[in-house]
Amino acid sequence: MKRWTGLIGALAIVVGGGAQAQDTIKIGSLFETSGFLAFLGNQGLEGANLAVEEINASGGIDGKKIDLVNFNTESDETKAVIGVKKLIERDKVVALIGAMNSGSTFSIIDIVQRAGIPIVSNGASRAISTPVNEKKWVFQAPLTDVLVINVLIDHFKEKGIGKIALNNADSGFATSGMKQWQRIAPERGIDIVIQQTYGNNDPDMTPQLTNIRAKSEVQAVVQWGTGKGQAIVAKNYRQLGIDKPLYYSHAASDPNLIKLAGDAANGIIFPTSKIAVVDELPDSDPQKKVTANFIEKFKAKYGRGPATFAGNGYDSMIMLADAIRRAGSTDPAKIRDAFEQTVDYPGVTSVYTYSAVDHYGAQPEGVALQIIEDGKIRLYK
Amino acid sequence: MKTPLALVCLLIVPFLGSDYLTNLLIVVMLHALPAIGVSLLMGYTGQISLGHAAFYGLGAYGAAAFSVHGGGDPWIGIALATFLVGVMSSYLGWVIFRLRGHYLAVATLGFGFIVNIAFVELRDWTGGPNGLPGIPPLDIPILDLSFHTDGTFFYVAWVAMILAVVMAQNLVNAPVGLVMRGIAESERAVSSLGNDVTSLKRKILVISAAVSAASGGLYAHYIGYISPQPFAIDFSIKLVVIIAIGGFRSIPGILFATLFVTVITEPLQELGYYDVVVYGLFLVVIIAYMPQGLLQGAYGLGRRMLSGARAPAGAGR
Amino acid sequence: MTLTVSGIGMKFGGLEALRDITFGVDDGELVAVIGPNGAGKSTLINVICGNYAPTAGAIEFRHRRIDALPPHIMNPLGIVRTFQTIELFRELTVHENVMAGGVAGAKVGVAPSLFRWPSVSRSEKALTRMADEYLDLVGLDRRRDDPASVLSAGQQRLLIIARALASGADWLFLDEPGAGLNPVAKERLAEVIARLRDHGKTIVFVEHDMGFIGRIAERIIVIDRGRVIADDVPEKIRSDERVISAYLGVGSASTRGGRKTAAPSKRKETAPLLDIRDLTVRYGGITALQDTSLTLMPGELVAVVGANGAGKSTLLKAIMGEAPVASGKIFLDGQDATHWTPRQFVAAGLSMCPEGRQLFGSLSVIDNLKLGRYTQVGALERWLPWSPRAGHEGGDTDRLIEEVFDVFPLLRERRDQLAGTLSGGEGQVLAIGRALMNTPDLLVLDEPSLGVAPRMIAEIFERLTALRERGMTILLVEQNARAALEIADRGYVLDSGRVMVEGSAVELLESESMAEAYLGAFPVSGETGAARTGGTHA
Repeated sequence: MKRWTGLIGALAIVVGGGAQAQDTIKIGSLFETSGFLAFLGNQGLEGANLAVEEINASGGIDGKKIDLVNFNTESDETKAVIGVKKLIERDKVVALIGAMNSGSTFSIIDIVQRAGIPIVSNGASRAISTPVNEKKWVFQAPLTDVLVINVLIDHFKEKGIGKIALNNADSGFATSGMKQWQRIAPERGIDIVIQQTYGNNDPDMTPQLTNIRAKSEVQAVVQWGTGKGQAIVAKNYRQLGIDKPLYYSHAASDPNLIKLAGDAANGIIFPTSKIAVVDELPDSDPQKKVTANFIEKFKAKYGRGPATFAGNGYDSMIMLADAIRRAGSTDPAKIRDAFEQTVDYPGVTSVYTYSAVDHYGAQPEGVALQIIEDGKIRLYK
Repeated sequence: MKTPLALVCLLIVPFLGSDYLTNLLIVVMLHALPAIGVSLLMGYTGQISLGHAAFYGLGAYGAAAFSVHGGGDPWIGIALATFLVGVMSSYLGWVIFRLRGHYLAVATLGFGFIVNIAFVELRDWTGGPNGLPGIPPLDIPILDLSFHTDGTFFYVAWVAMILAVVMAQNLVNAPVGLVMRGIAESERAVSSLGNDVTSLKRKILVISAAVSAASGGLYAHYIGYISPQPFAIDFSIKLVVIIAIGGFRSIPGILFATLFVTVITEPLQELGYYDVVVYGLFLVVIIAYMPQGLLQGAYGLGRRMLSGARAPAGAGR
Repeated sequence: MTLTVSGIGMKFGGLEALRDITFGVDDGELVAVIGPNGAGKSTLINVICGNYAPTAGAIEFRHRRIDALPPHIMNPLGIVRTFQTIELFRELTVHENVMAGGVAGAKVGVAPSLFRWPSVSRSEKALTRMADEYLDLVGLDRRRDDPASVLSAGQQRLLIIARALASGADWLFLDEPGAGLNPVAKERLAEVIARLRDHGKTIVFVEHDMGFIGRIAERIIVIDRGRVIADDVPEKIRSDERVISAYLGVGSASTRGGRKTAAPSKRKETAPLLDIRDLTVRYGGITALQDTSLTLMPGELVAVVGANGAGKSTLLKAIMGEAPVASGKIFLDGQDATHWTPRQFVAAGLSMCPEGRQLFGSLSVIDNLKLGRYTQVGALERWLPWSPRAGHEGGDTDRLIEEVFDVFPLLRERRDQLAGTLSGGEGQVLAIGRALMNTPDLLVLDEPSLGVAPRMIAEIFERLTALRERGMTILLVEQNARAALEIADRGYVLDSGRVMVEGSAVELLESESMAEAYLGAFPVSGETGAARTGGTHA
């Protein structure tokens, strides 16, 4: 008997859903507030909550307030599957904002596709929304490596740089970056003279950089990685006295890079969103107003400055709300169609233009080249 | 025994029309398999394992690779992966069962780490940290059955769980089950009675690993995408937590605990950032005060409270 | 001979536990193996039953070399053993325990069990029946479905015999089957053993209780210091000079001559330092110590002697606050210490030098000594040893180490050697030194001669006399009665949990009853026990 009652009790917890108010628009989010990517998920959720507050304060969408329901996916794919089903079925959300963890998004693509609910994912892996004809319901908001690589190549062309060295970590982010470089660079006439890979947790990258130094024809070095590894590269690079310009990926906006690398970080050039350099932007920049507003409100609400990924959560929410407003409906299919028609939307992270063949959205003009000078990030001019 | 009845009643779940509930129970049933495996090894035979996520993952990656890279039939892939993991664990047992207690725990932990690193590093085969997408769902073309939806896959998971439960119950109730429990208490006594202790431990490890691998294979074909992360050390620890809550040596208790551990975190989400803290405290309380498991513990507590209500002076703590 | 043991030797590192053991046993024999504590009896059983591979010699069983075969191979050949520590499957029922014993013999595989093939059910039935028969044989049929853990010690000992029988082997090696049993349970055990012999089983058992052995064994093998010193029928063994001296110990030559007739009564008027009054200790249903009284005056050296199982360890546990005291009182320096914790005893100035030494093997000699001081060191010293204010105790420790080195110069020579590499005797010296670091008022030594070479025993006991002369009060618990009494002021002889004799050491040494307490020429405990409790036996 005791086992039965236990089971029923547990089921009751699961099934007994909350009462639903009809005068709100329910949006689900899958930010991970625990587990190994909690530091990203928490930022994203803060950004999204800020957006919701802002939208609701200005009267909501056609008088309806937004109700954001977050499911903590615990950075776990199995949990993400459970969570997305709960949000779709129990909370009856009309659209979703995805997790920071690419894996969590991958694992739920089939489910959102079947359910016909649009999702704006914050995972950075390009495979999330390609091929577009098979991922009709999946959109991405972050900067992708292809985008920033193209921005860098544009810059190289301008500077007359044709021969580069590529040094990358063996993490998922960096491996994906390496593959894109090897695909895009030849297409655009850039020669990768040498490519080196280091272990993500290696304590010293001198061997790889020594190999790179030996190639005198190299005009610039591109470094692709995350975390403390990219700080070590900066230090080793200066120690070896390599005098060629050093370019980093968009992951260089991590404040720990400057903290860990100190003076060695000075001179690093990297393409990323404009959040760190908003004061230096010309007033003509469409993102200036949006970003400044975001930073100000974020500081007011949370008492500290926003980290990069808060912008992702914020943009996803704001763009979804915009799509709902334009669709004039909370029908998921109509929201999806409206979202796909987003054009030149200035967000914090980027300027977004989606289309039936492009679900990445982020545009090159949303990316600005930046340089570290005296331990500060400045706009590169 | 109410457990068989409860398990049969589960069959109506897909008809309740809630994908969420169906999916939740599929996950519970898939996790119940490795939990039963750990219980056989750790609960009944007394050999600690902190590496079972590796067997689960090897089953998942093996089956997935077979159908994604090899284009083979998913069922054959699952069977093959299960078989290979069984063979591998037999050799593993030959190495690690030279160790006992803490040393065994560390060795199994190390095994779990190595396998997970392999999942990350063997990119061509596993897709590295980005994972392996496009794993086909299960079908039985001859019978015109497909298990693409939660409602249909539910029955696959259910059958797998029932098979595991029945076989585990058979094993622990058979005379060999007595010897398994004997090993947990006194290896030298068991050995003096003519049992080759190491060989027996290895056989139990093989069963335990194979049942985990089979579940991993089903998981891969259910979700359709795998990455190294669900097979990391966290899952091994979760399995140990499950069998601790389940009372180590009770198959029904472990089924309940799997359900509990998967479900408890849902209402706790209301607590926002503090859910982890409350969950942790809860586990500590269960493990410290309910060594027989949550099911028995709660039952005992309930009885004590009832008798306490009748005779207030007699209530102990 | 069915079993022949020839020239067996067993070395553990530097310790030679068995030396050139040779004997044979025939089918159907009932043989007891006796010897003082540490003689090597358990090692011998371990070697014969495959738990250790001997370092020398050969063992043949039914014309097959069996030395170094693992136990699970030994069993199908017909050899099974029980353990001194019982090794019961406590989570199983009584019946399941016996069933578990037969599983290997029934050859039910793991794979068939998963699918519950018919063969599994058949063997399960056969095992059930067999287990019932064996439970009947040892008289536990009425406890069939009880959890094994609730059985009394005596019933547990019978249960492991039934479990061993279920394995199908007909040669039984029983390691101390009577340890911890009360007289009634021992009587039961004797009956069961006799019955097994009538069923044609061969039994070799290790035992201490000479009365018990005398009643059932047909042949006794006596082992001392790893050698067979006698092998004969019980009547001859009892009068064998070598056996008596093995049990009572030989006086250490150096102390014998040099013994100063201490003045035991020089402080008669002062209050006793340790005063134990009518102490009774029970574990579960077993009375380990009954109405025992003992006094220790300041400055005295008192020896407590007695055979293994006499209650010496229990007495020491009670003095350290680790035994369940049923009645009686313990006074330490006038304070009621009956229910003190070990910490309180230590704080009150009692220092214990435990049996088996319990050194920290991976630490150096000097670090072992420092650890002996640890409880006395203040919090400041412990956590902030570099603090200038912590210096006081530190200096104290160094001074005490020097004092210990003065008493035992040997330790100074080996100050940086790891404790684990010391010989038995050197280790014992270190253990005593460590106990002294606590600056005790009362030093308690548990079996300091155990595993120590005779020459070192003499050396250690001489040092104890020196300590006593410096005013230390010493309680010496020893199996080696002669060596202990030769340096003691007074002595107590324990037997079966009671004080049999007490008196001045000189009186005891000359007393006839000493040998009797050890070798069981007394009315044996079994018989008196049966008579005493006869009324409740039903």
